[in-house]
Amino acid sequence: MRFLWKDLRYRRWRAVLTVAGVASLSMMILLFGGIMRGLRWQAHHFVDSTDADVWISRERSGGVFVGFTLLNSETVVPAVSGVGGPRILNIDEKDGHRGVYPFIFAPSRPTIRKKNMEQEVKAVVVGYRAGKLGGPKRSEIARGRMFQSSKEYAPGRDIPMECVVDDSLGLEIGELVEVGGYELRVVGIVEGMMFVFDTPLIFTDINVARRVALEDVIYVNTFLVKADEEDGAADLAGVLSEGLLGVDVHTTEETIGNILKNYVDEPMRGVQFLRILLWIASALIVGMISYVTTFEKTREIGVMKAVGADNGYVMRLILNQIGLMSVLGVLLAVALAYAAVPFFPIFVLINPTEACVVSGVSLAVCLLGGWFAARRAARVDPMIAFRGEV
Amino acid sequence: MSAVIEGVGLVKRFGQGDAQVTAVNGVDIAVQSGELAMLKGDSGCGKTTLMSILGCILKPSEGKTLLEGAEVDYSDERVLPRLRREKIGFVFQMFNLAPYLSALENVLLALDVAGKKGAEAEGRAEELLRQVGLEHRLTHRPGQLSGGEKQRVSFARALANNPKVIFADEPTANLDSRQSANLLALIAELREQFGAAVVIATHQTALEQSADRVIEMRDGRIVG
Repeated sequence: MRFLWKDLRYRRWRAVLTVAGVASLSMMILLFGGIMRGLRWQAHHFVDSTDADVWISRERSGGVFVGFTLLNSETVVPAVSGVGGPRILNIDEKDGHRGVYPFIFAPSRPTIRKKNMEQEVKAVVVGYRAGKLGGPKRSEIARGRMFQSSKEYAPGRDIPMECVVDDSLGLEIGELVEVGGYELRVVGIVEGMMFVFDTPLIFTDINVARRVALEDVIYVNTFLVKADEEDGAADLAGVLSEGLLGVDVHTTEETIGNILKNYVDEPMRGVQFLRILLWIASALIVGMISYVTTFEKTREIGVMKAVGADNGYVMRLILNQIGLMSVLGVLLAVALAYAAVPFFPIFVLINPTEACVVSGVSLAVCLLGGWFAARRAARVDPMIAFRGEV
Repeated sequence: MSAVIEGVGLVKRFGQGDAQVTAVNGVDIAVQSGELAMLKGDSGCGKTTLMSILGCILKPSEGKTLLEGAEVDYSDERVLPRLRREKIGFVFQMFNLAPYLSALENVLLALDVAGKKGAEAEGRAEELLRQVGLEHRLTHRPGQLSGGEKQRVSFARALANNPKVIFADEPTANLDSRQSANLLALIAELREQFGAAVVIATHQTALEQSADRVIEMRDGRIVG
């Protein structure tokens, strides 16, 4: 280690460049992975927060998140209750609906109105009944209160145009959001309720959402169902699928799978490929710098071999050096990636396991790159020691 | 005295066909234990090639080398480094010290190669540098040493693993006459002390008087 450190100090700028190269590439690999993990987390977080077990959508529509689906609430609710009856958790029995809830999920471009400022933003209007399946509960409101909820699903009812918004929209209680020509007053703020790609959510009553997003028709996007704990979501989905015509029935797990496939896995294939390219670039950087350094040290290695160093000694010396620089680079990458997360323009989630895996792979590819240089070093002819100065 | 190293019918050819050069051509040589032999000849006469063969670095095209009576197996690449680190020391014309290591660390490197580490190795390196008169230069790097001092460090490094024979290739070529004389005096002293045979390749006739035996080479052959 003593000779290794001395050599690194002597060629410190080359070592610094190698460490910086490995660090920056590994950091990018980590951050790309963090972006994908962030998207996955957001998809899971929102869908899980609806508390639904089964999602009913128009047949072959792709579902509410991936495609476009409209269902008639007046026909679907009784039908579902009839088919899945005993298997559906009766959380809303007093209303006679047996736990079947309409849900609207409408990507939109609302205008937010603050003091002296108007700004069009990207958001999703989520319509559901307060306290039922589909959105945050009262206890999850960070500031303010829950929007007032309608008692019935029928459109055209006179309900206050209120909403609860994610804090990322920067709105305060009492400020306005304009969606589809209607103004919604912000009455509550929730935290961390975003759909994939940091899309903030605007939660409002199902009938308000129907008015602002669907022109007050009797349709909604999808229906959410809570399964009886004894039967489970998959069983209920099977029963509903067989008993209902013209609909697709998915469990929450399948729904998340569809979101991930559509929003994360397919678009991020390019990013995955880029990550592989970055790993190759890391190997090339370490390989090239090590190779050049080994070339520069040819005579020095020749002398070492002349005084009795065998191939194993020489290879260990080079690989230890490369390993040390790679470890430093990878550690720096992890530190920089964690430090960069709060400043990143989109949600990035790096977890320790992923950091360990990326570090391990980066280290392995760097050592692979350096192995070629080490092999070249081991092949140096000790005769070179007689031919000139180190 | 017994021969510590012996070359029998050594031939070394480089290249092929018309471009083939015979650098060493049928050399028989034996160096006795504790002997100081001077290998004399003009540049290109084959001195360095012969030393490389005897020093277990270069495989001869023909002939054999006996080190302490045992034939060197040049075909086994694991044996040659072991012989070099256990029985042979080298001193090079251009010193060949690692520029980023101190005098002490350059000697330690030779010990490290032989698997000797820690305080014992450090003590040995310090002792060797003291014996070559560099106890006040232990932490100096080659760039901070004079030519004569660098060559002393080279000798200390060559002696690190108690070699049976030291091959010195033009050790005084880059030294002035005073430094050369001092170095030769040191070599004579160290030879007495360590009992190692020393083979010095040189084209400087002024060094002949220090040698027990002068071997003259010309065109790859020993001529005197």
